[in-house]
Amino acid sequence: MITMEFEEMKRIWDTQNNEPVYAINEEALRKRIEGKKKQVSYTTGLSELIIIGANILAAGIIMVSGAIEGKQSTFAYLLAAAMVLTAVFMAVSRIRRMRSEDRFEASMLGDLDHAIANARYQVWLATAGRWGLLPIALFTTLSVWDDGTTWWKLLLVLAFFVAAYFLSGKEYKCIKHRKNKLEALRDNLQKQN
Amino acid sequence: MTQQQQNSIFEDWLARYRGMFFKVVRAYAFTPADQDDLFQEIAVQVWRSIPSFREESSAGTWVYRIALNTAMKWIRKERRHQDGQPYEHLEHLLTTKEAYVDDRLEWLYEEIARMNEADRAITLLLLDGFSYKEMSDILGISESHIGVKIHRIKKHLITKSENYDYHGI
Repeated sequence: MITMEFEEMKRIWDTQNNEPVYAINEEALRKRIEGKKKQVSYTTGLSELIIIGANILAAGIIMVSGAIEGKQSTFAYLLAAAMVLTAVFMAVSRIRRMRSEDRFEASMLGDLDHAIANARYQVWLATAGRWGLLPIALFTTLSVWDDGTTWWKLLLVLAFFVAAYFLSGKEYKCIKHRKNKLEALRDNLQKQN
Repeated sequence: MTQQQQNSIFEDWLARYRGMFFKVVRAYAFTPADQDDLFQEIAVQVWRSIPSFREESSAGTWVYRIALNTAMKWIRKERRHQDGQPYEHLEHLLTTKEAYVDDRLEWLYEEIARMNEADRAITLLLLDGFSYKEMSDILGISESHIGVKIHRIKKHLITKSENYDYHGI
């Protein structure tokens, strides 16, 4: 068994030129891009399904509970309608996104462009989600207030939406950072070519 | 200190310690975009640090300290934005061009990249011949602790070198 002594490692280290010239490991880059593409596609698809499912479920609960109790405020109907609209809007966006998946060429740059397109879509989704939160928050608050509930329950609902808005901002920053990184990677790749 | 003096010192340091900048950047960042990002961050921090340099240590030690601290802060910040994929498992995107290729150096960088951020810093300083005292000053760790860590790092690298394929050398 051959081992390298530390002095030898130091000697190897000292041979470094002050100006190393870098080259890209294409195979590693291809694997990395493919991984990023898959990951962005998976998280985008999952976000869409969660938004669609959650909105339909919540709207259904509002409508069913209103029907069972035999009373429902206008705000609750508006809230359910806003949720159904959000789900429909999301479903249409998802179909359009999936239809455009085939337009990317089967190359490293094509994969990267695909990942960037999905990342941009995710940024748009996060922005739309933040704005979409406002009517939902408004109708929920009005609905709870109309129900004659206690002030602390109303505060709790408001606090929930403030927290959701704050957390969605964090998510937005994270997604945008990921998108910027992909774009920087593509710029670098194009420079190398 | 005037801006002109600061710029002139910065240019001098950049020329003198360019090799060190590359080593730190290569040990902590692995994609071209990340390496550019980290290099820029280190350069900015070194430039900002010039008015605080009191010549209590050598300029090389000072610059190394700034570069390592910046790299460690940068990697923590970047990790928060990682896609759940630890750096240690990423294959290197950058290799030195054919004229500069030394497989053993590549191997050394890969092993350094697998270490935690503090051990990475100690290994860089050790390979660049810094004394225990200088390492202690740069990293803010006691000399005895540095000694223990160095012992472990050397042992680890020597053990890892057993698996290194010498291609018949």
